[in-house]
Amino acid sequence: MTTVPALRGLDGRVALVTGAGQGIGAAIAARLGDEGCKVAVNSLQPAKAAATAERLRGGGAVAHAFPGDVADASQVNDMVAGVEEALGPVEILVNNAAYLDMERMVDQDPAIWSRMIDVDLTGPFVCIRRVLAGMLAAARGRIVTISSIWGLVGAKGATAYGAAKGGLVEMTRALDAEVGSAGVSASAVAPGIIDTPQLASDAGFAGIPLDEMKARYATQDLIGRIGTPEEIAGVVAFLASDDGTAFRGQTLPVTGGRSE
Amino acid sequence: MLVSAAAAVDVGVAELAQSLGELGPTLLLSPDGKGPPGAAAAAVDLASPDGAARDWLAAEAEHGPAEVLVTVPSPVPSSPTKVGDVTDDLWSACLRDNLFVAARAARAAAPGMMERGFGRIAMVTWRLDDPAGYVAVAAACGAVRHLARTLASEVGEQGVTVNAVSVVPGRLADAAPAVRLLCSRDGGFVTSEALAPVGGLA
Repeated sequence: MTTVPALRGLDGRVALVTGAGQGIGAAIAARLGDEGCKVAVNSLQPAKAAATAERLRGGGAVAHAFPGDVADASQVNDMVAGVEEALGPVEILVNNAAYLDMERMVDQDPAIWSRMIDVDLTGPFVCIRRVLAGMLAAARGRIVTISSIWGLVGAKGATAYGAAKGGLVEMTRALDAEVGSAGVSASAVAPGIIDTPQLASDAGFAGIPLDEMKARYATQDLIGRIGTPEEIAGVVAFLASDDGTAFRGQTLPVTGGRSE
Repeated sequence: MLVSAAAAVDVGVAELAQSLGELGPTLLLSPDGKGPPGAAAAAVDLASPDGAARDWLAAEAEHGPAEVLVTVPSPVPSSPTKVGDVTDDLWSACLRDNLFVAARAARAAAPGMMERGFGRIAMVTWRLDDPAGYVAVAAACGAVRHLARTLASEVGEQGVTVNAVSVVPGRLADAAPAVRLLCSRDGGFVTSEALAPVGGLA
């Protein structure tokens, strides 16, 4: 194995990771903590935010829990104020929080549709708007947004989610065109199928056991397996580092070669 | 070991290889076997499939198994040529120095990587913002990008990833951060992609 090079420009930075109570978000928070970031751990569920922050502190990182709903501007305002007071201005924002309820569009309750758009598309906008002024004033900021392979290609049962995640791809491009510079940049990652608690919902929609769902997904990836949260976290950390500005405005697919 | 293969080693190739040095020991392969002072270099006959495979095995026997292969495009011609004036020789040379270098090096490297269950192949190409007058370069680089996408599907289950990295002509070193990502453990779930680390231009 080749040596894994050190990531530059992360040590000591204040990073806010939304949806970090489990899965990909928890792995991103852990990785940024390992890289020396001071991590603000957000989750809708206070107990999960606290557990992730506790785990990071156990590993020697500086981490605090900031529970809240990213789709609620008032809660986001209070949350970021809390981060600024405890850790300092947010220098890295990772928009990871997401909600996916797999269902055919014709069967979907409009309230569920709206909630997915609120959390998955408006949530990142609300968080970005709250931290952006500080980043621009400091001429230092990295915004990394988690889109999805299903924001790049269509997937059955994921119309609202796909619309939101596709919207994030274009929002990232526009955002970087609007405010991007050497100091402040926006980019995104489009994960493929990753081994997270979300897969239970996918299995339910497909009407098959979880193990069978994972096996089916693995055969659809060119590398013959599904991904790990840590593999997404590694790419997010790269994009948040000094090297990441090479991908300003872009969405990096991290899918194991998946095309559906 | 990391191997860079190029039709010729010029200043840009040497600079890219140097900036990839933090991934591990590097070896420069080219038809004439030349490299900058202090860099490990070996000759590989990229003009024929048999020669590439033979020389590759010899290089691995001497320097150790290759975990990473980075293929490098040849310099873009200094002046444009209208499509009607592109000769068969110019067209063939462009394919030879870009597509065939990448394909022959990858074909030589892939079996060993697959057998060992680990490999990273990054094919660097040019991204032409204004391709008028450079139809052969555009065709060759486009072919390399799709070669990477397709080869990834044939070697993925054996632990080998294949991606293309496109940069602005003359700025080979811009590919280094992306190649470092792809070839480190962090890049293990990125395959069959065409990355363009061009900072806001994409």
